[in-house]
Amino acid sequence: MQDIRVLVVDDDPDFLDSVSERLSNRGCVVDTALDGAKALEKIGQNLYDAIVLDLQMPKVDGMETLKRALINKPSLQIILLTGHASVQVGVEAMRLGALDFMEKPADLDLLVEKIKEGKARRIDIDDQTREAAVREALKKYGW
Amino acid sequence: MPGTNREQPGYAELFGQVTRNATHEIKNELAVINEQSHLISEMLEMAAKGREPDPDRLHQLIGRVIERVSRADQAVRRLNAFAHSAEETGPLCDAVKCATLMCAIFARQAALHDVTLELNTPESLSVGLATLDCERLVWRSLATVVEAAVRGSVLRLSLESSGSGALLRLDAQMERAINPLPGQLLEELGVSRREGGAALELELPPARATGG
Repeated sequence: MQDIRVLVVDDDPDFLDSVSERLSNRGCVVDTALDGAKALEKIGQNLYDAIVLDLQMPKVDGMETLKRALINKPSLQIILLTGHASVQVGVEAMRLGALDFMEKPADLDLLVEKIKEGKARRIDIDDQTREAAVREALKKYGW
Repeated sequence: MPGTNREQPGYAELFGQVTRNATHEIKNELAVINEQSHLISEMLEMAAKGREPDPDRLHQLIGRVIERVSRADQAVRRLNAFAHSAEETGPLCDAVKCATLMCAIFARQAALHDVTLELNTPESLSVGLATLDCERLVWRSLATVVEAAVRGSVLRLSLESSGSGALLRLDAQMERAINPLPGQLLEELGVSRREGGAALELELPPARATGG
């Protein structure tokens, strides 16, 4: 199986540590960030199949991280994971482009399914973008 | 002491905000406990299938579970202490006890603004406010000052005797001017604000003048 690259973002080191290890045990290659600013830095430098993002964090919160990340990389697949779910926040997250919104404690097997779904969607979007770029180039040069 | 009506929206707002903060904190602890205990369970499952478990790692994880259970317990105790405040209907209270409890419950909300709380108080300080009113005032003051504080700063809350009453002072490096506290709240509680400085300074009524 091809590696699934995931970035997990949460301000609680214990949570980050345990979730990372459990995801690793399920075949994911996990990177971590303790706040939104660090997450954005890592997103800028690396390619991830999915981002698992805590909503409530100091400095740059989850919703702001989501917005900024998608501006730079629209094909990113972001799953918001929070202890404080409300329908309103969930709807807002989806409207902003999140793949899904899950409440803590999350079923990790379900989370892995979502991550796999994210990877498939990211590859699909990247393929479509590449195909569109090729079509545009062919059209431009009249080939 | 001016009469207070516990059915006013201000009390409902306080109960809502305190409950929200405390339950968020408890839920966070439970989420971590859940992840750690599942991880331990998975390590034991793998051990049953022949993969040697790392005793140090197991010991570390179990230690963390114990620590997070203790933190969750403290959050529940704080919420319980607050719930009992409503039973203390007398006209006097210990402002230090109220401030300490409110700061502990408010700490995570402050942390989300990247503000750290620090307390500088005597052991106790009696003021002419009912417990719930003192807590409402401290909570509102914390929320107002944290909103105006620079991210990454320290908010210092101090209490000291002043004249015949007490002075509650909240100071931090400010990004902007502190919004005024509602005049109705201050009037209702017989509290006055010292004007002029960058900090929020409130003169609390003396304990002896409130017996009625």
